[in-house]
Amino acid sequence: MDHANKVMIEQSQQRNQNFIDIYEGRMPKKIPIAINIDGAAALEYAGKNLILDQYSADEMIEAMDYTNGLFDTDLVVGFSSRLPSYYKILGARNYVMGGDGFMQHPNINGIEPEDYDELINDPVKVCWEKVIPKFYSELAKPAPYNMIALLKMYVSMKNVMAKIGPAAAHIAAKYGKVTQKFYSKRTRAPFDLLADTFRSFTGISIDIRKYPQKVLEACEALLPLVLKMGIPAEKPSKTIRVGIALHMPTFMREKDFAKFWWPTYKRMVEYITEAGFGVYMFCEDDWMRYLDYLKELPAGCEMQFEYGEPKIIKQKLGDKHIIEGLFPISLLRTGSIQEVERKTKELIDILAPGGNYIFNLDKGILRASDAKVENLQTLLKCIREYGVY
Amino acid sequence: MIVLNELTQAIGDLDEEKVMEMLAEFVYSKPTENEAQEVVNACQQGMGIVGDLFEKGEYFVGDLIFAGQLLTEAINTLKPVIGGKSASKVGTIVLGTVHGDLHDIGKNIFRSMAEAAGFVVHDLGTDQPVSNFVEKVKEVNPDIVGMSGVLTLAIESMKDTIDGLKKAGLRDGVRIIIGGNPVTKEACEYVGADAFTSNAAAGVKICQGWVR
Repeated sequence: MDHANKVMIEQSQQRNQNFIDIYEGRMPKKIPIAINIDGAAALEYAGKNLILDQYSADEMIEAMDYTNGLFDTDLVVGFSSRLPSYYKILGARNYVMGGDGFMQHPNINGIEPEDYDELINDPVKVCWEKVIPKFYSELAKPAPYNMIALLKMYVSMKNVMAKIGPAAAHIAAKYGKVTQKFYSKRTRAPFDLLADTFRSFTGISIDIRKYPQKVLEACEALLPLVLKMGIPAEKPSKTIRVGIALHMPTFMREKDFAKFWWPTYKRMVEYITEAGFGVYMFCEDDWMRYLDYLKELPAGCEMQFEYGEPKIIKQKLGDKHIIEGLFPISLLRTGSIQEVERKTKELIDILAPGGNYIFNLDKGILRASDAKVENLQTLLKCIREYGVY
Repeated sequence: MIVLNELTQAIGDLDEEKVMEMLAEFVYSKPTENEAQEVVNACQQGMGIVGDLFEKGEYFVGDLIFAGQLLTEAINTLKPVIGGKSASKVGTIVLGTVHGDLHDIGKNIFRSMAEAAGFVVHDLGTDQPVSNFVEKVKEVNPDIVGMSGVLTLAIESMKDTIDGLKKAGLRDGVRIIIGGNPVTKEACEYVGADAFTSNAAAGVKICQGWVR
């Protein structure tokens, strides 16, 4: 093995270890960095055509390689599993492409208020019979056309992933990035699943006033389903994280949150933790109102915050949970190199003491215009130099 | 006899049952068009209370969505007695989510609150190309253009749209407000808008200030 290879392998191992240390409750040598870059942004950084090239595994791999070389992140970045080809084959209405090629989730409902009883009784049946045909026009067709569509999508996914998987491993080795798999399955809070998949943001906001009892019962009915979606197949370990993006709480009043959203979510996190896995949650928007609730969750949850007061978050949760996020992505777009450095150090000074901290932005980089290349490079360099224990 | 300030308060409290009960009784009493118009105004003032409570942090987006629904239901109930007489219009807004962005919840909340405040709103919809904004502004000559977006890319699209209005010679004839999650003071200056907000109720107040 040549020297350069050996250096990269050691670097990968060190970076793996920083995450392992955090997840197992030890002080790492350096602050791990969980910054992620979406596939769309990677294609744009690499100068490719988003609309066309997101259909080609080879183009995506080239863009991933380029982007991972450009930015010294800990994680292999630049791939989105939400590829338009899958959704197009299925005739999806729940993820659709904007005018410039970027995939988005419109405000769409899978069921009507009168379907609540059926949902409460058998949520899987309602998914098959109502939600899936409504969201995917190709799956609404009679057999065998629906089966053919599903098979096409499956084969397409297999073809893409058969190339992406080895390419990602190759890229990790080439640039000395994290090689261990930390982020496993993804799932949703029961209330968020009810909102985003079944009733829409608008629908659920009305339902909690019109049909409060049904909403409560539906969350209970969805709890086993979100756990089935979320429990990883791997051997239980705190280094394996179940990802949960939290959506609705900050759009609700506290008393509605406490009544409808929180109880089933808390039980869900307790169950995942008792099963031996860790949880990664993205606390979308500003969670300052809910910090005391988050404190109730079993110790060691990884919590990425978007907005809020870093000092208060650290003070309230820093001993119990792993804090992440809060670096304003807007600064990478509009700020100067000096401003980026200053903010990075300021955040590290507040959040790093005592460990339990993973560096991240307030949200993922979705498009190349979100972060100037030199700003993101400066940020990463600054964390590497300054974020040493 | 309907008690107007009680109705206003019931809307403000988002007490749907009480609002609908009061309105049903009112419609049954065969009111005149003028009386009906007063009741519409009372409902609109109720939306003002909702907006204030939102700004104070007592209500949240979910409550605004419900308030919009409640107001729509209230106006529908009143339709048989409102007659052809329309309320006084305070101004005209061309509204839309900019190109590349498909999000519309914030835009729709702003629209229902602006309409409740007496604006005529021409809502273009989501993912709207620059040309649609330009054409609509030419057509209806609004006081205000409102642009909405949730994704960070919306900032670039807002800039494109304002540049498009400039090119068409329409920029100076309107006030422009941008709204949504990614808008900030810096973004507002960058795109060349007159105001920004991530708070629909505050946005309506800014618009009211412009047409006063």
